[in-house]
Amino acid sequence: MLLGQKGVVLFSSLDRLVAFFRAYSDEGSLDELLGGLAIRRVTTALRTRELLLYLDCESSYRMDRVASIAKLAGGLVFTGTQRHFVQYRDAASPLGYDVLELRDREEDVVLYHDTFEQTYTIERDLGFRELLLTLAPHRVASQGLGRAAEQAWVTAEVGIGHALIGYLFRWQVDARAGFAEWPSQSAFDDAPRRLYLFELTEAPARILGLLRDLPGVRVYEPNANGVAVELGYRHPISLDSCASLFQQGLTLLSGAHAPNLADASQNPRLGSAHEVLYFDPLPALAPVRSLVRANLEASALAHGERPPIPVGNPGQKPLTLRLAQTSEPFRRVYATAVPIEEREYLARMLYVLPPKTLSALRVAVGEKHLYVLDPSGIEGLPLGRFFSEVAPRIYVPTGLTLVPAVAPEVLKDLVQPQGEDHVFFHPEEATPRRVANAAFGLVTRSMIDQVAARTVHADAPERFDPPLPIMEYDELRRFPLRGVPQPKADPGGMDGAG
Amino acid sequence: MAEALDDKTRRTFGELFHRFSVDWFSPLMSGGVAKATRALPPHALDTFAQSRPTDAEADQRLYEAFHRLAAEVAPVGTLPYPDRGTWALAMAAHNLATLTDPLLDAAFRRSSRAVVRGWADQLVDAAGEPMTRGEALLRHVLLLRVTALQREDRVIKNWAYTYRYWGRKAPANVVALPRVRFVRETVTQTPLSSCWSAPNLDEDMAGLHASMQQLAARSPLTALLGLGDTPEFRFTSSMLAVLSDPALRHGVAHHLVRTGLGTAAARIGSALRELTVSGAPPVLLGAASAFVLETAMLAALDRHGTDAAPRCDDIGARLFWAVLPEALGGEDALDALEVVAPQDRRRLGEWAVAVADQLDPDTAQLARTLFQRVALPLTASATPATHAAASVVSAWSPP
Repeated sequence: MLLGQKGVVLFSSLDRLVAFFRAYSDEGSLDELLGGLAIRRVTTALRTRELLLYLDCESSYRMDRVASIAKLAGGLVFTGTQRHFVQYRDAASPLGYDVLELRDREEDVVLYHDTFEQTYTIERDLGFRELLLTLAPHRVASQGLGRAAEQAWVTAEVGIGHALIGYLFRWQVDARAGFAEWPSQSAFDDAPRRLYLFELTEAPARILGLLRDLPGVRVYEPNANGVAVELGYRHPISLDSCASLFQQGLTLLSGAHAPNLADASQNPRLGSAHEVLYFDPLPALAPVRSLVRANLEASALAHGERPPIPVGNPGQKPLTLRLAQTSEPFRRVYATAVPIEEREYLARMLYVLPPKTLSALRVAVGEKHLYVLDPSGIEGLPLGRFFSEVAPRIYVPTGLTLVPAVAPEVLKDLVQPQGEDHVFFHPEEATPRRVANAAFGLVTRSMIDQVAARTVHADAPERFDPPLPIMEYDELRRFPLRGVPQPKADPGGMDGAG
Repeated sequence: MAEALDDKTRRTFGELFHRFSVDWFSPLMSGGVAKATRALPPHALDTFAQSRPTDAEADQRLYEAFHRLAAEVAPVGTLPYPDRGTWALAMAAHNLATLTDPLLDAAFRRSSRAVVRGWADQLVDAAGEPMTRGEALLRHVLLLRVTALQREDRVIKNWAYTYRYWGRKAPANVVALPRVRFVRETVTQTPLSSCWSAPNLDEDMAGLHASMQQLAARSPLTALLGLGDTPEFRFTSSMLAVLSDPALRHGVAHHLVRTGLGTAAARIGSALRELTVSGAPPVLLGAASAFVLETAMLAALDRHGTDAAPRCDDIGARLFWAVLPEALGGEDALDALEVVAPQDRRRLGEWAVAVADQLDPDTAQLARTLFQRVALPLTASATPATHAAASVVSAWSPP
């Protein structure tokens, strides 16, 4: 079988060459071709331009595969050494092709096909990496987050970089940030190109979604080590298959952003072409928690304390009773205050309470609250704000306590004139509310409407007297029994009892 | 015995059943125009007894009317759905009712009347006797409505002619343009029972009368409730079976007292005397005696304070009233039947004393021996609708 050192694939246009790479990268690894790969633009004697892809012919297996895919993409495969290349084997000639006589031409390349012979002059070389980066990623529909859920690269313009650092810090995202700078590409640029670069690890989907929609911020999904494509886009060639090209630094490929329809009608130049960002070396990345701006203002809230709620008149005594949070377990939870607007819920709850609980409940209707007492514990009525009895008939909300922690007897004297009334301390009010003891009544008497018995008359029911039945004969027939099934001759077969 | 039917016959019976149940039977019970269908042969009974009206509303009206009419006689919870016997009687009643059509007395039609009446008789025979309280009530209610059947007879006159229609609507062309043609229509309602109970009946109507008597005999409860109008009233085995049921017995007694005892006392007493003489078993005698006692008690308690003692001129009436003093004399007889309040017992005692003064020794002796022979039915044991008397009557029939 004829196999030269090199293989050459002739493509008539660049799109066919790209189609070859796309097909080959989808099926196998382009890395195996990269060793001796060269792309050369050649011209014929008629000044038509074509493309030659040079490959190392390491084995016929690889060449066979190249040949099959090249045919698919519209290319012609040749093999040979240096300048002369003959047609690679195909089904018509399994062992390959040879030439009877070599052409002695000055051109750079001579291709021998069974139907033609063509000479080419090399115009220039095209780098495969440059070709790769020239291709713009295309948008894909609802791809999801893909690998970005595990690791994502984010670039942000300078103006929003710091805000993004603070945002990521607040949401405790595992992120590292760096600052990249490129020199001006021309003398007309105002300043060097600067960008914030973030590396996000296992960021929540909502945050990635937010960043993706944020102008000035782009989210990239890693395709292989060292290369990432903007989220929502896909490169025409599988970059996984040529990872060796991106071993150094970091390459970020963004898609082309179309302008909004409204803006496009005014200025068609809006929007942006696809952009390739190449970070080499990678900028120094630091965790965002190290970069967030430190706030040195002292705050009382930082200690988890809440401002005390004054109870009483601070002008008369140097000390006033205040409600403060307590971590003590709930004790003597005997009352609940149900807001008056939740009265309907309380009414529904009463329908399902057991008789024992219902008989113990006493309720008083206030202006803003319905106060419900149960000396055996109010936990059976899961409604409203629970109150603990801190002293006889003095209640504070559960979880709060009165400070200073005065003794119950002293507290009872302080809340004067209490008498037989019940006193409830509400956190949102400075003055406690007093409910008269007489206002509390059994819930069954307070909440249930009076049931008035309806008088029932025990008269005899109306006698059923249906209208008289009116006999109407069937239509008159000349032979009344014609068509009626006649019984058999022996009618005695019917038993008398039925 | 069920007769194998071919598909065509089944289909015909299905159509007949639909028209019979929806157009005739349901309106018969609930009121309205009961439109008859064609004559119903007896071998359709199996199909009819196993079917239910296809019109759910008609079925509901039918069943409800049964309940409401039956509740007038006795307290009923839920009646059973009409049984085979009831369907047979309804079919027979339908056939007999159609025979009252005067237009059947014509050429080619005349011969069908005997055939149809023969079919009705077979259906009456197939009905048998009622075996449960529900069946007895169903039959009574059915008979009640059959005897209430009316027929609208129309006489239509215009400026030239006179038309008569018996039990049929007049054709539209006859009553068209009433003002122009000066149409006058006279409608009279005639009880259908007058066709077979008139004094002078021709041969066909006499046969119809006999068939209707047989039909009525299948409802002993109807006979008991109407015994005031029955001169030659006698207890039959089926009547005694009905009377052994406390609910029905009380219903009959209550009906007789409410409508006025009148001559019924003498007829019941006469029937009881005849039953005693015929040597009826104690169970049947007990059912009859309980009925007499309950009726007499209700009549005594229902009387006003100014009412005088009953007249005991008739020998039958004497026996009827003699039962009460005899029952009051023996505690067991009364207690087994009714729990009487002391105040009512006193009133009964006063009434019994007034009655006893009019009794002759023979009647008093007959009443005494009667209570020695009878086995009074117990109130508590009468809960099931089938009762002991029903089993006895199957082996005994009055001479």
